[in-house]
Amino acid sequence: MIGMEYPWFLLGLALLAIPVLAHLMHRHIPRRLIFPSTRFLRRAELPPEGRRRLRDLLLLLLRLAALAAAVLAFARPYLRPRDDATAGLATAGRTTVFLVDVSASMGAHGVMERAADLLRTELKALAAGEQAALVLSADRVVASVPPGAAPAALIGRLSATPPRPVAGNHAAGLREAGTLLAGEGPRRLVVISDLQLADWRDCQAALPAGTEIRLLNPSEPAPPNVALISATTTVAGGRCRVTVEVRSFADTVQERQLAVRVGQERQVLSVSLPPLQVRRLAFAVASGDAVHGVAELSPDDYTVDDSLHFWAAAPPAVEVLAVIPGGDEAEGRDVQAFFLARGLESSAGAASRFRVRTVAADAFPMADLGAVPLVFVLGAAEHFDQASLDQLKRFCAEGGTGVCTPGTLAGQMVHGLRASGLFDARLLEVAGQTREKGQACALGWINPEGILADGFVDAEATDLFLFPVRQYLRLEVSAQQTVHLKMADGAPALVEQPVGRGRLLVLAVGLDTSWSDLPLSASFLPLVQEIAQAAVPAGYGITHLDCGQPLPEFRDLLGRPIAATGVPPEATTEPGVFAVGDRPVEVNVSRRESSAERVNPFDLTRRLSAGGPGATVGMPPPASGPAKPLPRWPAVALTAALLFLVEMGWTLWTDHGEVRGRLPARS
Amino acid sequence: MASPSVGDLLSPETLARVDSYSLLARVVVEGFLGGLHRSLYQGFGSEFFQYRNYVPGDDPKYVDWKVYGRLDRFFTKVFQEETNLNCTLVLDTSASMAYQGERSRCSKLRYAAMLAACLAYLARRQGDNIGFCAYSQTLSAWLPPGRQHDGAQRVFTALQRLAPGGVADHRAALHFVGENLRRRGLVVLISDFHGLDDDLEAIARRLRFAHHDCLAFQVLDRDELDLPFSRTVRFVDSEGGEELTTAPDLVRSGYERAMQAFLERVRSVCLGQQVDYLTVPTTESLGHLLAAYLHRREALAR
Repeated sequence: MIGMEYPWFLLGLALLAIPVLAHLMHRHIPRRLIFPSTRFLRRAELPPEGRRRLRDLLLLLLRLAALAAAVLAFARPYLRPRDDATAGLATAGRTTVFLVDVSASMGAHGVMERAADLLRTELKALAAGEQAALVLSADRVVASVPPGAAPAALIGRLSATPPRPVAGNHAAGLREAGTLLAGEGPRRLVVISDLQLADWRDCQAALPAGTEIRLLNPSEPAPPNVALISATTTVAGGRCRVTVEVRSFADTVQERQLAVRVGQERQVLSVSLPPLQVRRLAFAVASGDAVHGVAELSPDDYTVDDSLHFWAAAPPAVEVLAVIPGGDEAEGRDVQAFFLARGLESSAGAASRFRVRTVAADAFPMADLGAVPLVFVLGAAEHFDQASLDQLKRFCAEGGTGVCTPGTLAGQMVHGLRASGLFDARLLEVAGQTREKGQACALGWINPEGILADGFVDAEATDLFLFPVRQYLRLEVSAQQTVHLKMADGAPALVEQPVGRGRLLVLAVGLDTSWSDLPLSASFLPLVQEIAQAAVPAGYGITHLDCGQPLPEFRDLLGRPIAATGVPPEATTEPGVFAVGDRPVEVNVSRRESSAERVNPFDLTRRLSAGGPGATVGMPPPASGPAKPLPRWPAVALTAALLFLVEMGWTLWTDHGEVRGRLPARS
Repeated sequence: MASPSVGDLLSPETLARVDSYSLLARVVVEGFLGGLHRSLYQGFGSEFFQYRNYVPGDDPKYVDWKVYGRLDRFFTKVFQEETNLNCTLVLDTSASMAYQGERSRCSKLRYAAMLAACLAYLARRQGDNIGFCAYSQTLSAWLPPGRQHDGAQRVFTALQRLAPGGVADHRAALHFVGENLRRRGLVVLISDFHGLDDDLEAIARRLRFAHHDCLAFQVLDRDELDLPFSRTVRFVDSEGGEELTTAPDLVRSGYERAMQAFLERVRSVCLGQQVDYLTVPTTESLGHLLAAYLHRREALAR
């Protein structure tokens, strides 16, 4: 079987018109001349016109052949030899598997009907003795009908299977199709799909050798589509602020109506979307006790992504773990935890976003930090053993944020952190208030680009720089560390060091009054809340799932699983909102299905035919491996070069002959 | 700016722009005579020719009595016949005369007509009778020489009406001319002589036997002499219509040999029959042509 690696190069065959036109334009038409002395012209010396015409024609054919061979060489032809099993391929006895995509994107208006029509047409075209099988594929094999079933059964099976609201992944479907095609005789795979790029990008299948592949797209051209991408909420005072992100996949400007409904409250906005643009729209609705919100677009051909379910109530409180020294050292040291809990859990008239849990330093290695984004080590790091330091390092490396404050043995804290690779700064001294003038130290600078900048936009108007600092750690920071706060004398007061995907913050003062009056100042609450907010991303606490994804296992701080009471097992198969314990879960159709990007049919055919080292579809190994294509372009290129050489030689010889003929005859 | 010379004024390029043959002939001839400073025909006319012995019956008034007084013998004075010359211009207007090469400013017929006009003007200046005949397949114009005062003007008018075409029937036309010229005179034949080479000797002999003085001007385009074309040309014979596609580069030498043989044959026939013959390329100046011809006539007259 002959194929081309770059078949679009064959468009270059249009260049064949150039020599044809050149020959037509330069064809020599003798000038007609009415001449009195014609009788003196000797007919015997006439040039052989017929031979000349034939020579010109042959030269034209030679040039056309040379040019065609050159174009063909660029198209990289190859020859795929047929093995004995597929030699003399005939439709009689052939097995044809129809792999029909039933992912969410096939739910666009009319697509499934066209897919059924295509299947019906293909079934009618089957030859006598040809067996047909059906595989319905979404994120998994939805249904499979083995070869031998009646065509009506296949049609009925497809008609009875609506598109599933899941993102497509046809690896399993291809695996099933390969199994059905594993028998003897000719075989064929017919794929009926909208060929969404994301659904087929990673699919590779080493189908049995000689499998003929045919792709049919019932969704061509792709309809203009607008999708709701995300909805984030902020709840305060019984009102819910919803920010909806809308994206257009269309090539033209789209006008839509966007409605947000929370409980009985509903608001509508008109939105105009430029081609391939994203817009964010904000709504403020009275949420009341409702937890379920829905954003809806006026429908287009693909309606599945025109609605988005979101959690409209306040997210659950963020668990913050405070580690305090254990044993005797804990006595009086939990003052820091006290101030921290007051600082984080207090909220103006609303439920606090943070909930502080306290654990002793010696129990820290046993804590389950999977549900905790932030750990405060309040004067306890100097008592950490290696396991605790490893636990802290692992927590930070996985994306968590750790905040360490000094205790009574600040030197050991810094040494331990340095030894475990968590903190690179060196401790110079524990500095105190200036004795000479009897003045206390104070904070003096805040990083305008740091994590505290948003909470202290006008720091001079607060008492951040006013409270006295009795003692603090004088640190020498490294280049990779970031200083967010400085003392009035320039010493760093809050230092951040990145650790893996997370970070470790070290505060130069403790959170009790022996270090400073910070916990008593008005700036304490925004300071600790800003640090906590920086550690907790927006939307934290709400689990977003695509339809079809399994429900994750939720655990509490002690590692105990949270029972999904009242949640049906199939809760994630359809869009909706529910809660597992106090953990809200949003389920929506994957927005990956909204994209209008299509996979290149030629690439997909080649991938499915040849497979590859990274094949994700497991196939029973064929008796003899898939036939490798034999490149034929070197021979074609050589032929083109030879033809060009012959043409050049011929042209030179012809020109030489014509010049010689024009020389004056010897007397 | 230098004023144009007589040669420039008499070049075919200049004369081809003159519509009136009368004006054209006057320009040529007057320019030519002015450049020559004397008229070759001055003194022609009736005058004493010779003496002869008296024979009984001679009119006594022609006896020269002065000679008788000195010699005591009778001599009778003989005078040249008191008459005008009949000059007949015979012009070939066949299709082959329509050819005009890229190097020529006019067609062969136009050039022949200019030549005929000049000769008619010259004849009128010396009081000769002028006749004119134009022919192709048939006679297209016939003005017998006579004593009309406007003979030359009629010739000019007839020249302006000429149009080339057809296959020349030289034998019939010249037979007609020979039959209709009662008095002997000067017959000027202007043609390219294509198709005439076989009959030329018989025609010339016939005119010569009728005591006519014959002049033959063979008008040819320069292209006919050297075949200058480079690319393949489909030649169509202007009279026969035969087509021939050939590369001139390949046949030029043979063509030139054939053309030279043709010209040599015409020249030898004319010499044999005492016909003044002149080959006239259409790029040649009319003034130079007339000067060459008249000098030649003068030499022959001596």
